Amino acid sequence: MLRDAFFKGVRDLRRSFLYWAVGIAFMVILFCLFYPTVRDSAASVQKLIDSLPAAFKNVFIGQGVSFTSPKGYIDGRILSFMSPLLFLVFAVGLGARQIAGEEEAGTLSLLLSYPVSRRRLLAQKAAVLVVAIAALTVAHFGALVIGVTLEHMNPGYGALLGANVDLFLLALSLGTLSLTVGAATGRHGAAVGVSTIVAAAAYLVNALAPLSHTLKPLQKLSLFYYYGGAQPLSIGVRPVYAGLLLAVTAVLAAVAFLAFERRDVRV
Amino acid sequence: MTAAIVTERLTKSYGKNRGVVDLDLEIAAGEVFGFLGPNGAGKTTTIRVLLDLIRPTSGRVTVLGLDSRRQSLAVRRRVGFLPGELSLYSHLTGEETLRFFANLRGGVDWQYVGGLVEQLDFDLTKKVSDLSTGNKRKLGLIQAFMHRPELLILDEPTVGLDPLVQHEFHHFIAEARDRGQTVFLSSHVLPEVQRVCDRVGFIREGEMVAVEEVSALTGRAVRELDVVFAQPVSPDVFAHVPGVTAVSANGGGLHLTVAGPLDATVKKLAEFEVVTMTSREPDLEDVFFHFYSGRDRAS
Repeated sequence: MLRDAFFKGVRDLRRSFLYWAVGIAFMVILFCLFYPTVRDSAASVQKLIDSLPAAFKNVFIGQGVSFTSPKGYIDGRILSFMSPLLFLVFAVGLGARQIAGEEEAGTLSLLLSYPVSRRRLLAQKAAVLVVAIAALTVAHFGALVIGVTLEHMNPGYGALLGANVDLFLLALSLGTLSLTVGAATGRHGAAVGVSTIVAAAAYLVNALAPLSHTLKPLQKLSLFYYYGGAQPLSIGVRPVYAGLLLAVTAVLAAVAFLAFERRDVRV
Repeated sequence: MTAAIVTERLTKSYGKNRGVVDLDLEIAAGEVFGFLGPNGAGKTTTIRVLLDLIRPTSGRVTVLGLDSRRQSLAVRRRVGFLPGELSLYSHLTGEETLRFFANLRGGVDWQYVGGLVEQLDFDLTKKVSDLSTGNKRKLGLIQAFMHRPELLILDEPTVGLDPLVQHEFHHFIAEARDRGQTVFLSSHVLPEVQRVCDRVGFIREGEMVAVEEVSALTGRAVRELDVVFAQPVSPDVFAHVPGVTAVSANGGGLHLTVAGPLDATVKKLAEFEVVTMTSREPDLEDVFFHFYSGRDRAS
């Protein structure tokens, strides 16, 4: 298990990953179990939602979400806000730890005094990020499948899988941003800070754009726009958008390699 | 024989720190070289350039005949490194730590590592977070030595260690020399360098001030003596004793500064009734002051 930085990285994650996976699965299933209550009083819930200020509704519940359909409910309660939020915290924290965290802990210098090229180390560290986010997505998807099956919600398993792929790509792009800022600066705080601000701005721009002429043109710059506009189940996955998220990740990763290769490692 | 380390006009400038300036250094294969200077003089900067952790602003560096930049991987295969500020993975045990690092080298001779562990009396089963500073350093030393590198780069290897462990470390380094390994060690204390090194380079404010054979250095070392006599003795008595560079009255006794062998001073002291005598090694700044400013005047 300690064969190289990748295997060590995976090993280091064992325990905390378990907490994350169980926590997220628990949340997802719990929301699903609440569905019947909401469905049975759909009319009054929908009325309550419609009475909220549009901005508030867009930001905290999702745009145009209809709680009366299973898809709308899953989007509104789970996929539009809660899951991305938790995935981002996970991915951004993990991305920042890979290089910057190790550098600030002081272990990077010793690690790079071994015959391991920076390119290789970064590739192994990035692989940890990809594998961990993928595994968390599997747990998330599994919990959703259990939840919708228990409550006979029938959103279509294909659509559910697609939405999870989208969630994976969104989290991966922001996790990679964090890895890249960390690899370029060696600063954990900067990596977390920049990524969090970008994620929050992207979410808000996407949520509020429909209500504002000023923000409207910016919506297409938001990563959440390509995450099914934060309603991945209702809107459905578009391969082009998924490809765009992947392309953003690839560009960020390329920047990470270039920057990390050139700079001085801090003590 | 290829030199172990050669730097030619190595310069590394940082924004506000000086780093190192036009540093020329040549360390022969098989020698134990002490890189001596006060904290912040540029010792760690130089070491980090050797390992390609930081990149020189200008100048050329070869390690074991290889370019430190372009052939860094080949260099790092043949070098063992103990960082000055040693950080290890706190959640791993000693054994896991060594296993991980050994894997990065594509495996090591575990029998040999076992010997090192035994020699340092190190407990491999404890977690790094439960180790004392001295034991952490031991683990650091083992990882640096475990693949029998041709060159050992040890950054302040004994700082913060108790004298017993320091002694073990010095012994360890002496053995490396006997095996034919080259050792490049940095330190800010002269006695340590005198004890274990063949040659010493003085660095100050990023510049190499001098390189000396340790044997030559010891012959000219400067000591401060505080002597208390049974009866008052005039400082003038010692003013012209060979080696005494300064003398002053100090309470009931005398304060003497002596350069080089103590013989003449001791014989002169023997003419009086001495109650107590303390000798102390001067700190590095004093050495620079007496050694270099003194010699400049003489030449």
